[in-house]
Amino acid sequence: MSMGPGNYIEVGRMDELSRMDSPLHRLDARAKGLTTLIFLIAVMSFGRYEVSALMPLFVYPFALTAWGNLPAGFLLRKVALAAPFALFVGIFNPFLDRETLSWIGSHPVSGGWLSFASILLRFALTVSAGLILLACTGIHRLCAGAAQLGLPRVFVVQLLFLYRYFFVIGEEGLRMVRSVEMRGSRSLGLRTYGSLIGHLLLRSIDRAQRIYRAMISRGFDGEVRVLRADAPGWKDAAFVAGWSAFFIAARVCNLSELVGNVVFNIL
Amino acid sequence: MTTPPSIELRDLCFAYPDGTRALRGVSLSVAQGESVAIVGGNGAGKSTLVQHLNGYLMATQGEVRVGGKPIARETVAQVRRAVGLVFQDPDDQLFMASVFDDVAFGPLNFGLSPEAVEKRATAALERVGMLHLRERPPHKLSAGEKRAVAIATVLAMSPEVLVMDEPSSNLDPCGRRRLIHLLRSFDHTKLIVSHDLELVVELCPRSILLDGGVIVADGPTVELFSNEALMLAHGLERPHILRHLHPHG
Repeated sequence: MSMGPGNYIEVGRMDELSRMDSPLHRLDARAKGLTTLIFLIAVMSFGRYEVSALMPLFVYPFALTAWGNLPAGFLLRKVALAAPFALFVGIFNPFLDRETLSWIGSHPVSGGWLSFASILLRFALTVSAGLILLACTGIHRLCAGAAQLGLPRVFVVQLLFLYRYFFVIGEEGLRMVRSVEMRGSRSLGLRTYGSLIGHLLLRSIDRAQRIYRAMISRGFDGEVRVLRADAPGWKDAAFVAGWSAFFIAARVCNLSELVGNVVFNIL
Repeated sequence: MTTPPSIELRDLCFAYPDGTRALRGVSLSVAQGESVAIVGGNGAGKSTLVQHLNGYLMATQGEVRVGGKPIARETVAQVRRAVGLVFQDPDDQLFMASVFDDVAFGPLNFGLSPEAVEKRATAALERVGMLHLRERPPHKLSAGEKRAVAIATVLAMSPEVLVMDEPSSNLDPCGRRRLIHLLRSFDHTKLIVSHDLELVVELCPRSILLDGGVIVADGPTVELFSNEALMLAHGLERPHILRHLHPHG
């Protein structure tokens, strides 16, 4: 039984989720991949100060989470885990861009704060969409789908190994952390860290090589094969078309503003 | 026509890129259906030898033949089908999301139809008594279950030769006993690399003692292991089971 490390990074939970059964899981990997790609392009194409217009796009991750019976708490934790990257990217914006662009009541809001908020929203949208895609499809089906769509084999294999070795490095790293903790050492000097990271790299390379060896021993030749090949149907086409229409609508007109105006007029 | 030996090594030499000479002229022949153990202390060259058997490492000098065919770039895919390798650490061998997917990985790569893959994977899991775990993620299994599934991944490829690296490591006594029964029930040609000499005594009538990259002795297991001076000289010891069977041997 894997103890310790597994509990930290919840190794394999994504794989487990991808093997559940739901209408979302049953959709063609290519349909889901394509929809996610269109979603990412839509999110990234918004202006740098856009905040309210991004809001309606949250319907997508929420709807998919519900439809695919995915655990929202787990996905949120994963998004939070990666959040520091987005924070670092945008943290200096409020200090560098002080021009007032908007008002909340009588409070001025600078362009820096707006772009910072926009970065965080976009980060939450894109990362959650990626995680959901992975959780409802699984890396293997996803790679097979990407290959069917014409992605060169070398990229498909890179993607597959990147995912596989990410866990390998994670596990090795946590094993080392545990051994450091067991020796009662809480604060480590820079030198120790340097040596630890060097060891981590070497151990991960060794382990990765052994896994690769196991794969080629069983006939792996660079082609990703799946047992149950996806056969696209009308449901898949409807999924791509429906969501794409929604993303385009959200991109072209500010749905939040539109809904706000409608509600305001009714009142 | 006589059947060629399952495995044949002729003057096999191998040096790692850093210059370490791991194998220095190893020649041996294993007949079809034979069970042979390779024993030796740490660094004797056992793992290097095993990696030559399915073409993961290629000989610097000499030749490896499997089923009469020399291993070369053109034959390596065929050889990997014929030689099933069970790794020392099952965690290295199990990399798919479910037990079933893992067992199906080999047959799928050989281009079999989905029905044939399904049939083979089911049969292999049934053979090792692990069919009930087919939907489980491999990393959540016990050490014994992992080992059995790792063996199933190899059986699903219908190999002619089974090569096992330390098959009993990390197993509790019951798991080890089950493994011995399981291995005994296979009629494949078996090559077992192990420090578990008691297991070797039970499973392999013939043993090969390796040290410093050369074969020191090759003969009947009981005879070899009873030679206390020989065993001690090469980092091993006479197993307890033989002390009971041959107290004065």
